[in-house]
Amino acid sequence: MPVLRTRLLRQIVAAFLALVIAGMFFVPLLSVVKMAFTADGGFSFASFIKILTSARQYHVIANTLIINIASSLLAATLGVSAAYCIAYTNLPNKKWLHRALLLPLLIPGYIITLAWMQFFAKGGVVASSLRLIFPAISMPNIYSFGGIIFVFAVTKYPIIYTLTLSTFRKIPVDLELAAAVSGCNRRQIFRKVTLPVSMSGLANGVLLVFLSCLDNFGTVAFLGIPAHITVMTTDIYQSVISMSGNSFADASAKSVVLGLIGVAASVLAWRCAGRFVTLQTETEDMNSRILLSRKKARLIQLIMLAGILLINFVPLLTLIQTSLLRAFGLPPTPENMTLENYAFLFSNQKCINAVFNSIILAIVTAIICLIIGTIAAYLLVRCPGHFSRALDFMISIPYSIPGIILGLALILTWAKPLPFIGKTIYGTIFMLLLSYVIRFTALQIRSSSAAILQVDASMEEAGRVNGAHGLRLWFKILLPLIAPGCVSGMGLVFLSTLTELTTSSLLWSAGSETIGVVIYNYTSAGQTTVACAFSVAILIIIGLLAGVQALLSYLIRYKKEEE
Amino acid sequence: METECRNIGMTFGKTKALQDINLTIHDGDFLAILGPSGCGKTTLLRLLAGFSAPTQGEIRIGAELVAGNGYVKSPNERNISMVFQSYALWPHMTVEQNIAFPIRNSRFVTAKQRSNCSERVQQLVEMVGLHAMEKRLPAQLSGGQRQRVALARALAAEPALLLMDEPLSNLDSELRIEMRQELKRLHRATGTTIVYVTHDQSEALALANRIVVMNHGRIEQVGTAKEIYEAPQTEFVARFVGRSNLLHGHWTENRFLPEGAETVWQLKDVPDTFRKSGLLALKPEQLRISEKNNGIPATIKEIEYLGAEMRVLLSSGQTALEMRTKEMHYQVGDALWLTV
Repeated sequence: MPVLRTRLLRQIVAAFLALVIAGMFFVPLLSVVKMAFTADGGFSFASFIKILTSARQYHVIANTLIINIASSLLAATLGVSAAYCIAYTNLPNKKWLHRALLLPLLIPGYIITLAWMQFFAKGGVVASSLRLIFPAISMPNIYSFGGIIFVFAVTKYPIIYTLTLSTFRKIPVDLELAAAVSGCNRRQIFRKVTLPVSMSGLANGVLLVFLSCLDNFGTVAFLGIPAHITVMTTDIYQSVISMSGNSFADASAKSVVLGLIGVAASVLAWRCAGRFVTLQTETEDMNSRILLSRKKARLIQLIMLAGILLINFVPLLTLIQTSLLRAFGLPPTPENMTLENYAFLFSNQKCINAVFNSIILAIVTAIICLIIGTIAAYLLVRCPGHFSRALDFMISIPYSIPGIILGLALILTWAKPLPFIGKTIYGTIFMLLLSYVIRFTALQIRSSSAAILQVDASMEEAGRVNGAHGLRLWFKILLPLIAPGCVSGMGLVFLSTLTELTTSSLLWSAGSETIGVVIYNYTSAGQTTVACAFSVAILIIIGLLAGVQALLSYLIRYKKEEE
Repeated sequence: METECRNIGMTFGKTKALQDINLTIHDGDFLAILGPSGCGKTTLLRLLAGFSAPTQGEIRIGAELVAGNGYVKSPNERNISMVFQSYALWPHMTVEQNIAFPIRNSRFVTAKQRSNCSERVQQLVEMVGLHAMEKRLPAQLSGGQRQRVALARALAAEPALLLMDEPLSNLDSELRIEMRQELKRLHRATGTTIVYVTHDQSEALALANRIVVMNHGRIEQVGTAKEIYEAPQTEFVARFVGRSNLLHGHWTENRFLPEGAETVWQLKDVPDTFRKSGLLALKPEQLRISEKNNGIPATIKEIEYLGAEMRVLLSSGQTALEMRTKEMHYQVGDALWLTV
């Protein structure tokens, strides 16, 4: 019976697929949990007892919580104020302000951190210029709790900004007008109507920032380690690389704690969000609701512009300025300026290799993720059920958990020699490739499934009744329709991979350095000027890529309009 | 307290949304602003609420200037309230909290009223028939119940002026009739001055004691329901409110000679605007079929049986005509004569 045969075949394929996905994405994470409960070759709580009885560990957890909560709140304040101005008022050139506000999404966090380190440097150009006006001034120390919180806030606020912007625009304008005729002024309307109805979106935004801080390695390593401020990620990192007796078991137990903090935060945020109403509207109202006089609008625009320049551009200028210094710490006089750092980059094999590695890795990762992610997204959208949901869950988990846990999981799983071959991929560039694919396929699933959702199932059915089958259906009908959405997801994967640091910091090896690793190594080795020069070069590469992308999408639109 | 609009004009870029609006709203009025979509009725309502400022003219509520000369008083400083087409109930507040909100926030509520807030809310809840639903959230209510909450909320602070923006248009027809009676009852019970925007002439005729008909940003006619329906002063009002047929012809004093016919009709009380433009407005029920074969010639295009009566669509030359009658001996395609 052919029906039975195809059904059996389908089930075998599905089972095989599920096994591969589970083995690749999910099982390594279990090995961390297993390792956490292992001591002296047997099941044991020893690692947890060690952690939970150590005062130092409580400090680390407290540091993590203090920094993350404070950063989330500060980022929320920045993001919500910016979103309110952009969503509600009739500021001129809003589109450009909006784009400038999103800039930190494009630049890797550790480069922004490096830039702020230059901005706040005691002998830096900002400090010396300020000293010309105020001789007694001294720069605040960025290697501190305050510094880390500040840098987190200015790098993570776009998460809250974008979420709140869309939430604000979805609030029906009548809700606010009704409050106005009931006697509320603008401030009361914000407090009594706008804020309460946006609360659920805001809670989600704060959670995302919190999780993103929990995942972060670059910023806390650059700013925390010199100040002896240790948080969970840097603590796990140090445990792993210390390579002492029980280091992997300790790191695993700490990872479990870190994971639990993430889960607890998520549960708390979902509980909070559940207590607030969610708006039913889906359409965004793009009209300005507060019409400011021309003078006031200009004033607010100026303030925002100044804020954006200070937060998103000036640090980058100080980064460029440091990259041109003969040696770090020299005063910024013309005779101390040089292009030697850049010359060094071009002559240094390690730097060239890193760029080459990262680009190749990003391209290959993006292609693999595109294939796995789009197939998984298709299953998720068109064949919903336990099977596809389980697949989605297993692929999503490695993206949701802190990258340092994934790095540890992959070491535990892949460090042993492979059966039959007798070799290991650990210590090669394939280890990085595997980790990127595991980490970023989830991103591709989101973009691809959004694209597939846009295509009505009837399109495929129409293709089917008109004689297209199997692959033909995919290539002739589905792919052309979902391509734009999938490709934009691919771009996201590419950019994330290109500058990834957290997992790479654990998995890199001599010869497989990546961009993030090289910047990290130069910075922690004190070769700040080279690190800055390399960062500037990376920014130029990112800028060029963004330019090409913008040009392509412009050309596509132009061509469509011509047709 | 009277509300007065004097020479109001409103322009958006180059489009004139409102022109020369002069209108007095008397204390206790149930005033309907009636017109097709885009006629400026909602713009006028938003000006009364203070959501936008007129580019010309001034508005006074009581003796107080609330808009004019570049000055505009914000909505929260006006003693007004509004029922929105979308109801605009705050989704995070219960029925009770929604209704209590204006009492707690309006600056026109006295300290004594504020201290009696919960009794007042209870009274309103009873009044609109939402007993035992005080603790529910808007999402847990039906469309009609939401409408009632919106009404109770708008009445809560006893505003000098209650604005309503097509409040019944989101309800199904049966509920709409029911809420119409409810509105009339509430108006009688509270005596609140109401300005009611609608595009539905039957709603305006049934509810309002005065109607303002608007078209293209101008006021066409102001009057009682009877005046507007029975004595339209302009071509637009005749067509929009009464669905009247407009016949071309010649006027000599009270006699009308329809174009292309050899008959003369005697008619009284025809406004000058019609005389001047050589027009006669006749409602569908005013036309009848002539047995004596005089009047204007017409051909039947369609007959719709409506139950109590029949709607007959005819054509006379280039003009389309509509007639209502109880009896009909002709069929589609027949030629006949029409008279008054």
